[in-house]
Amino acid sequence: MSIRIEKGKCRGCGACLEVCPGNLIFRDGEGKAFIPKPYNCWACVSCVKACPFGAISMELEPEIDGRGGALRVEKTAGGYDWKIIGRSGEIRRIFKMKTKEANKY
Amino acid sequence: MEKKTISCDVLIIGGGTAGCYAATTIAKRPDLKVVIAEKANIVRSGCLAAGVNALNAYITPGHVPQDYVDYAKKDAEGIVREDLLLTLAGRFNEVTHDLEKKGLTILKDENGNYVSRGWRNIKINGENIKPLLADSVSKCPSVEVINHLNITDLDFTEDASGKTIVTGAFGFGVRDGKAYHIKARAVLISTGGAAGLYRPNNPGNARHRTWYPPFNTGAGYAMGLMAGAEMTTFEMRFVALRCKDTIAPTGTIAQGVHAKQVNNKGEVYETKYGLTTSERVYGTVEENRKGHGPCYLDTTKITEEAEEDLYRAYLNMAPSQTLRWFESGKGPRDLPVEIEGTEPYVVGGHTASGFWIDTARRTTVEGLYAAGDVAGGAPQKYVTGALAEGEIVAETILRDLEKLPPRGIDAADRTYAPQKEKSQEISSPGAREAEIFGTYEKFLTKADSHLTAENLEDAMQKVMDEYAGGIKSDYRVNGAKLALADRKISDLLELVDLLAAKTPMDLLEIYEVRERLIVCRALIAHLGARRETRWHVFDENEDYPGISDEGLCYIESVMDHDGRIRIFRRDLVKGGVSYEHSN
Ligand SMILES: Cc1cc2nc3c(=O)[nH]c(=O)nc-3n(C[C@H](O)[C@H](O)[C@H](O)COP(=O)(O)OP(=O)(O)OC[C@H]3O[C@@H](n4cnc5c(N)ncnc54)[C@H](O)[C@@H]3O)c2cc1C
Ligand code: SF4
Ligand code: SF4
Repeated sequence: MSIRIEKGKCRGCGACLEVCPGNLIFRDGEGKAFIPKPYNCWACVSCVKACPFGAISMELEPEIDGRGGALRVEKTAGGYDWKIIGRSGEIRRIFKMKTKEANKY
Repeated sequence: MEKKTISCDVLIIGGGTAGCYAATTIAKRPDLKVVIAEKANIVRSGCLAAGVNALNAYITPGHVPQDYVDYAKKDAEGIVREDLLLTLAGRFNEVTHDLEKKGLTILKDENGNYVSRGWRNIKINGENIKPLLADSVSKCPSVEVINHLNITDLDFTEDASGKTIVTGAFGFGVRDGKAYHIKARAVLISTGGAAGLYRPNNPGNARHRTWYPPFNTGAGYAMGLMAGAEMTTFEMRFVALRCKDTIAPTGTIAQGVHAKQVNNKGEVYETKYGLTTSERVYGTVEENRKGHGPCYLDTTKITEEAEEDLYRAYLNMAPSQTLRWFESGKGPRDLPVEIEGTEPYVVGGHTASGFWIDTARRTTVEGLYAAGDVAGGAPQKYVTGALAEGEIVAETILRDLEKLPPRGIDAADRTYAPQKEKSQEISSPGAREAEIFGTYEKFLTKADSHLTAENLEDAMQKVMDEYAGGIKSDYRVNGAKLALADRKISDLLELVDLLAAKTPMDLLEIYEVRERLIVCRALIAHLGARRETRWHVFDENEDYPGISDEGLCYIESVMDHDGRIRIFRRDLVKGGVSYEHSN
C-alpha cells in the first residue's frame, strides 16, 4: 500500500485521476476513485495534494518501516499543511509549509 | 480503435522539464503549431512530480560556465561532450531567473543574494516547480497539450538517397483508447531516462519506491533506436546514493547539515574511495562487501533546529522520508540515516548516456531532436540543464523550420503547411500507420494470454540484476555474464508478441516492457564494449578492473534494420569546438 483512498470522503471529482504521473487511478462502478495496482505507486503524493476533499493519504509499506501511520496534506492559502497521522488516527504533528518559503537545506 | 490524425509544425514527445520549456520557447513564434504528447498529465508528470529542493546546476558569483564543464568532465573521467556542457552551463543562470519570474521560490540571504549549497547549487522551494512549468505552457495558445497520450513509435520515411526522415509519431490514448497519428515537420524527443530495467531496491508492494520515476521507461531511447538513431555512452549507468528503502535524496543531509558517510564502526570512509559521484556509491558498496555495513550518514550530532529543517525539506521533495522518521519513532538525531545504492538507471541528465546529438541538439536522424535526460553527452545536467537544453533545441528547430518551405499535406513529406488553428483532422493512412495501429489491434483483440507484461518485467529485472550488474551482483559485470544477459533479454523480447491487452492500460504495460527490453539490449552491448573500469559501480567490469587509455573515446550504438545492435567508437570531441553531424 502506498496511497489509500477513503471511499466515504471521495466525491468523484477526478482530480487525482488526472494528475497521477503513472495513470494509476481509475473510477470504480460508483464513480469513486480507486487504485487497482497500488504496488505501482511511486509515492510522489501528487494525488494526495490534488484531492480537494482530503480523501487520499499516503502510507509506508511495512518494508520501509510503515507501522500503520499515514501522511495527509491539506491545501492552504499559501501552501500546504502536512499532517503526520498515528496508527489510531491521531494527529502527531502538523507542518505548515508555505510555497513562498524555501527550505534551509 | 478509433483513429485520430493531427498535423502540426513541431511535435514534442514528453511534456516534462525539457519538453515544456521547449514548447514555451517555440511559442514565441505563435504562427507555428506545437503539440505536446504526454503520457500522463504535464501538471505533475516526470521527474519533478514530487518536487525538488535545489537547483543542482547554477553558476555562483566568482565562477564561470567553464568551471562547470571542468567539474563535470573530471567527475565523468573525461567522457563528456564539452560543447554540450558549455552551451548548457552558459544558460543555467538565465533559466533560473526565468523560473523565479514564473513564481519559483529561491532561498535568499539578507542582501537578496541566492543562498548556495557549494559553488554550483542553489536552494529553492521546488514543490510546485512542475505546476509552474505547466502553467506557463497553458498560457501559449499555439501549444496544444494532449495529456494521457502514450507515444510508442516514430513515423518516418526515406528520401531518394535512402536517408531516414522522421515525420511524426504514433501513440494511443491511455484513457480514451484512441490510436493517434501525429504528423509534424520537426519532432522533439524529451521522454526522460529509463527506470525499471533492473530489479529495484524494494520488493513486492514497495517495488516502485525508486529514485527515478518508474513511469519514465526509456521510450525515447527505444523509439530512437528503432528509427536508426545513434546512442552514446549507455554503459555509464547511473546509480544514486540514497536513504535506504525510501530512496530519498542524500544531498540534503550530506551537504545541508554536513553529515559524513560512516560505516558500522563509525569510521568516516568517504575520503578513502574518492569523491566523484560514482566513487561515493563505490565506497558504500565496498564497505558493505568488506563486512563494514550498514553504512550511514551520521546525523546524530545535528541540532534540534536542523532536525526540524530536515523534516520540512523532505516534505517538499521526498515526503516518505519524513513520514518514515515519525513511523519508526527515531528522528535523524536519534539514529544515523542508513544509505544504499539504487538499482542502475540509464539517464542522460546525470551521466552521459543518451542520444548522440550535435551541438545544436539534432539527433543523427533528420527531423528528430533530443533534449533533457534522453539526450547524451552532458552529465550533471539536472533541472536547469534540462531547461537550457529545451531552449537550445527549440531555437535550433525554429532555425531549421525556416529552411523547409511549407508544402502540401502528404504522409511521405515532412513539410506540412503550418496550422494556425487547433488540430486539424486529416485521413491519409500510410503503410507505417497500418503497421503500428495493426500491432495495437493485435494486442487488444488477442484472447487471454498466460503471460503478462508484469511477468516479463520481473523476468527482465532478474536477468539484468544477476547478469548485467544489478544490486545483487554489486553492480559488477563480466563478458560471460553479459553474453548470457544478451541471450536471455533477446528471448524475452520475442515473448512480447504473446502478450494480450484488454484495456489501454494493459497496452501501456506491454509497450513499457517492450521499450525497456530494447533499452536493455543496447545497454548490454555498451557494457560489453567498454573494456575497462572507468567508473566504479556505473560500469564495474570484472574482466578489466583498471582504466585504459584506449577507453578515452565514446562508445556508440545503432540498431540495424534486422534488430541487431551495432557498436562502434568515436573520438572525443575536443573542448572549444562545436560538433556537427557529417555523413
Ligand atoms: C526524484 C528526483 C529528484 C531530483 N532532484 C533534483 C534536484 O533537487 N535538483 C536538480 O537540479 N535536479 C534534480 N533531479 C534531476 C532533474 O529533475 C531531471 O534531470 C530533469 O527534470 C529531467 O527532465 P526531462 O525533461 O529530461 O525528464 P522529465 O521531466 O521526467 O520528463 C519526461 C516526460 O516524458 C513523459 N514521457 C515518457 N515517456 C513518454 C511516452 N512514451 N509518450 C509520451 N510521454 C512520455 C513523462 O511522463 C515525462 O513527463 C531529480 C530527479 C529525480 C528523478
Ligand atoms: S502518489 Fe503519485 S504515483 Fe502514487 S497514485 Fe498518487 S499520484 Fe500516482
Ligand atoms: S481527488 Fe479526491 S474527491 Fe476527487 S476523485 Fe480523487 S479521491 Fe475522489
